[in-house]
Amino acid sequence: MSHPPTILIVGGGPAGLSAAAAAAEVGASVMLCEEQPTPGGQLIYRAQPVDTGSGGGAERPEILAKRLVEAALSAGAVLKPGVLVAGRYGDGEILLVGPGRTWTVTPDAVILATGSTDLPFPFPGATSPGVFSCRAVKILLNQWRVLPGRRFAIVGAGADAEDLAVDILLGGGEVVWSGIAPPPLFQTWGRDGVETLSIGPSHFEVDVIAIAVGRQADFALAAMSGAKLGFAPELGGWIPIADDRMQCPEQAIFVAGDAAGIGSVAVAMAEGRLTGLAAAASLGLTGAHVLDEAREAGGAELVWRGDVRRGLEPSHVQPFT
Amino acid sequence: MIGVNMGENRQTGTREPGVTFACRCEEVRNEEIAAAVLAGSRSIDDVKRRTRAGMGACQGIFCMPTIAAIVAQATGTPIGRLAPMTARPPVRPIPIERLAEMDDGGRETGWR
Repeated sequence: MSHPPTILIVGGGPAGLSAAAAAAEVGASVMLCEEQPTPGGQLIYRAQPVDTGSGGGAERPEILAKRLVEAALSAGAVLKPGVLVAGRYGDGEILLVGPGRTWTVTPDAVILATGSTDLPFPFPGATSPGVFSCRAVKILLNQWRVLPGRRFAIVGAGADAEDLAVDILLGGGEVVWSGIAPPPLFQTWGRDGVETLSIGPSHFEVDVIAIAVGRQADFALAAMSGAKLGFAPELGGWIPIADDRMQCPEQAIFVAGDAAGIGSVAVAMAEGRLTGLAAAASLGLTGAHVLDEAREAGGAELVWRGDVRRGLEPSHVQPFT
Repeated sequence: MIGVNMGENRQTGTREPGVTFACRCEEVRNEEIAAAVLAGSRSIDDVKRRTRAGMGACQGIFCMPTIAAIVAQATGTPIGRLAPMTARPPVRPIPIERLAEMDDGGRETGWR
């Protein structure tokens, strides 16, 4: 009996879950591995409503996460939370490490929806207690319901910083300063952690300094798989260079979401859907017209991201292990 | 000092422009990164080999942008021309006993 082509999806956030549903819907055998015990990616620690780009207003993140999981499952995808995709080896073999089991698979195609990490902002005392990345404060506030201090300073600007400020206020904290911090930035810290922050002529007593200076793609698995990387400051830094089908040329590797360049939840979902269909199309399960429809439905941000990628020069192609 | 971020550790009374960690996992300071470039490092990988920055628990996720910025500035190379840190499996530290548990069989139906 012949089996349907296999697609491994790495990462269970909005992009990965959308890719899983799209690929499974057209008949691929889909396995999605998510490192965390609960799928949802960044949705797990967001509290403010999320614009999904569908024109229907904003959705609560926990409702959206649940909806995306259910769509993937009902399309027939297998979800494996708590399973880490630990590496990819020369002949396409992929190492999976899960609770109680370690094994390898060699899928016909791989979709990397590995998301992003927060960018650092090093300064003296940045390793003292009380200095957190934006994401870490959100995890404490929204996932664990812990208020890590009373007086917060947010270094950085943009959507993540604004979202964090709202989370802090609703959580009962106070944002005493928020903005871009060119040097000189001066902070003092004692035994219990951060105490004061001075930016230019302004001086504040703070308990927490949250660093919200941006995110960068998590491209390690893409690099290991032989994808070329290019540097796109508008998409967070180094990203895998992918074509209009979200494929890294010459590799059976596709990328979507923050892993393909920092963006919104809406574009992660749209790109995930496009990538799921594209991976399935590469295995003969659907046709190019379906991809064109998905691309058009994906919106302006999706198109813009493609434009940025097309203009990238490869800075690096990693040699295989 | 103008244009330099500074801090004061009130427990030790140390006032520093300067003890800024590029790599938290291996406690490699910005000056050590710069010193590696002065000693001849021209790539992020070479800085890693000289200083251990990027070899710790996070495998360079946190420190790489900082290393890249210092190498770019110190060598006069546009940051986008630098090769990012070479990534090798595993992406996270894994206990050896987990690898020893590796099983050969039990594939999902239809999966190689």
